Amino acid sequence: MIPDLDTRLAHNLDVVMAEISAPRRGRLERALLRVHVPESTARLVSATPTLRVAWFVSVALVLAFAASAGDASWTDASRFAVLLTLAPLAPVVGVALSYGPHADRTHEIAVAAPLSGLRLVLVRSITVLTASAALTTIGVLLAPSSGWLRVAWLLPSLATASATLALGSRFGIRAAAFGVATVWLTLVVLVAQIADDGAAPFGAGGQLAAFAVTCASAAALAMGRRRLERWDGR
Amino acid sequence: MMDPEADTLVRVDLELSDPAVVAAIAAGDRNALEILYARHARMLMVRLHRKCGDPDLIDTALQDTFIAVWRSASTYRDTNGEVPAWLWTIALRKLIDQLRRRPAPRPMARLPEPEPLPPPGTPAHDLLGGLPADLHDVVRAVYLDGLTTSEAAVLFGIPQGTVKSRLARARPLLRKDLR
Amino acid sequence: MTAPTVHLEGVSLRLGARFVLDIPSLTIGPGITVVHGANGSGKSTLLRLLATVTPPAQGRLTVSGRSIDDPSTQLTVRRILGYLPQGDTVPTRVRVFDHVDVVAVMRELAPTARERRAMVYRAIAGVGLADLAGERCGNLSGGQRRRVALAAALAGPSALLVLDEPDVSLDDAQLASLAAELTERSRTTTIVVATHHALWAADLHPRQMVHLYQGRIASTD
Repeated sequence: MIPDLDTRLAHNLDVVMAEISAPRRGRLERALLRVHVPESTARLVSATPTLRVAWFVSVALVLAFAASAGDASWTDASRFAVLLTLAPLAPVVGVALSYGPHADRTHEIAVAAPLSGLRLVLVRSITVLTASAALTTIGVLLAPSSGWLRVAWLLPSLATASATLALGSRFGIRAAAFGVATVWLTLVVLVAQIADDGAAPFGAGGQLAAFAVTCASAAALAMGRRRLERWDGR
Repeated sequence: MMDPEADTLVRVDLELSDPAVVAAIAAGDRNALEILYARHARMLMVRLHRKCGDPDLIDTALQDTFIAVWRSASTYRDTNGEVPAWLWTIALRKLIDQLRRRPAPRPMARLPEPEPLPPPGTPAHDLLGGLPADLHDVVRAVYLDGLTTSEAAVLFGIPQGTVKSRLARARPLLRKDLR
Repeated sequence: MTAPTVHLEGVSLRLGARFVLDIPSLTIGPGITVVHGANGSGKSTLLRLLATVTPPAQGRLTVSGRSIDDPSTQLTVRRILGYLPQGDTVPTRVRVFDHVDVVAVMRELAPTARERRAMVYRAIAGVGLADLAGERCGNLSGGQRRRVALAAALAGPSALLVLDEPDVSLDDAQLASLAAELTERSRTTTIVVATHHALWAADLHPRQMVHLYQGRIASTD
């Protein structure tokens, strides 16, 4: 009388049993769903151990150290420069720790799955960037600082994170993270030495350079899209 | 595979009454929910098909029904009526939720056949028996299944005013009948 | 998609001077193929090739006649594939249901969340872990964790199953029911199982046994 009734009954029972057995979605996932993030993306963000406790703790420690570095003779500005120098490294470390065969037990399963590798990497990187930004903001609020320097870490953080991804797709994410971190620290120290001012790397020129690096990296990622779909993080 | 508990289901099934199964569900027994499903899901599906022509909506409504049963089994009392009637009220509400969510004009692939009259001799049969056929559905939905007029309007895809006017037409007939 | 036929032609992989894998020709058709060999014989390397994780450095790997080098073929294979890698693939801080569900998301098993979660539940109940669906994987025993990984690989319909040592840490009853499930699915699926458990391999009644020794096929029967 009703076609496929038995099949549908069996399927509906599976759905019911799944819904009543599945653990409740976490707070983060429910918040993401409320702002209309696609369900599959919300799952990928919240049910993957992207944000490792070790990373959280180390980043928090680094920021705390930066906020309290130096002695009484330091000016607030140079004290703040240490924070600005270290903050853009947080997303680099996070991205390196969140993807790849050395970081993720499910990596091989992810590679052998049809979901685009690029999408997975971007989802995880954005998660890491958001968390880094949140931690840095806390650090900034705790540190004595002035004016626009409070947000001077934002563009450099985007630059280092996007450069890590763009280079990572060619040289492997770990090597890229190491390279980007080294270049960043070298540049900052050099510029600060030459100008004899700890805040100098974060001036208008530095921000412009960071913006340029971000744009170039995004362009490289966009152009290499086809290849990146098959990227396995190595 | 690997599920040694599967065959205990049948044994329990023979022993428990419907209210006892609902009580077991309220205590968090997933097997009990499977038993309740095995007993009543087919009938609910058939009845839902008489109210709606879209199998996808019906499947979702049926799923929502048993998910709701799992969450609210502890609210079941004998005063809610027999378990099948209680389930049917939940199922109708869930179907209406689905219909509300898709307010676009419902393409009825085939018009659902009307529900048959309740068995002769029951009070429900006596109540509906004396009514013209076009009043059956709304009277049943509002007076027997306990829906509001706006829920009934969604269910039948007619304006709420039409539901109310049909009820108004039915009321004097019912009164005469019950006398 | 119906059960595919996988063909390897002149495939070799080197690690330094040593051959990790050197297969002149091998055809794997629908039904169960058991890859048998000691540790380091190249079993996992072969299964990684079949699961599209590593591309063949040399030679050709075709699935139903189409080369795996072609990205669209690779994607097609990944859509029909259930893959259980060797070793521990289960994260510790994630709950059982959530882990299998995330793998199901990555495998793009179903168009709607409800359908996907129904498949996930079926698979978890299938390995006897329904009561532990809400437990963190880190709180489970080694055998239970392996069954979580198995559920992630077996969830949903697959025309190609590549299972690397699915028998590890299972007890006798679980081994028997896994054998039954694989035998059942073998009628519509191409299944490749790597194991060094010869007795259990015989229970699978494979249509083909491939014995690997130091990266080379010692014999097939």
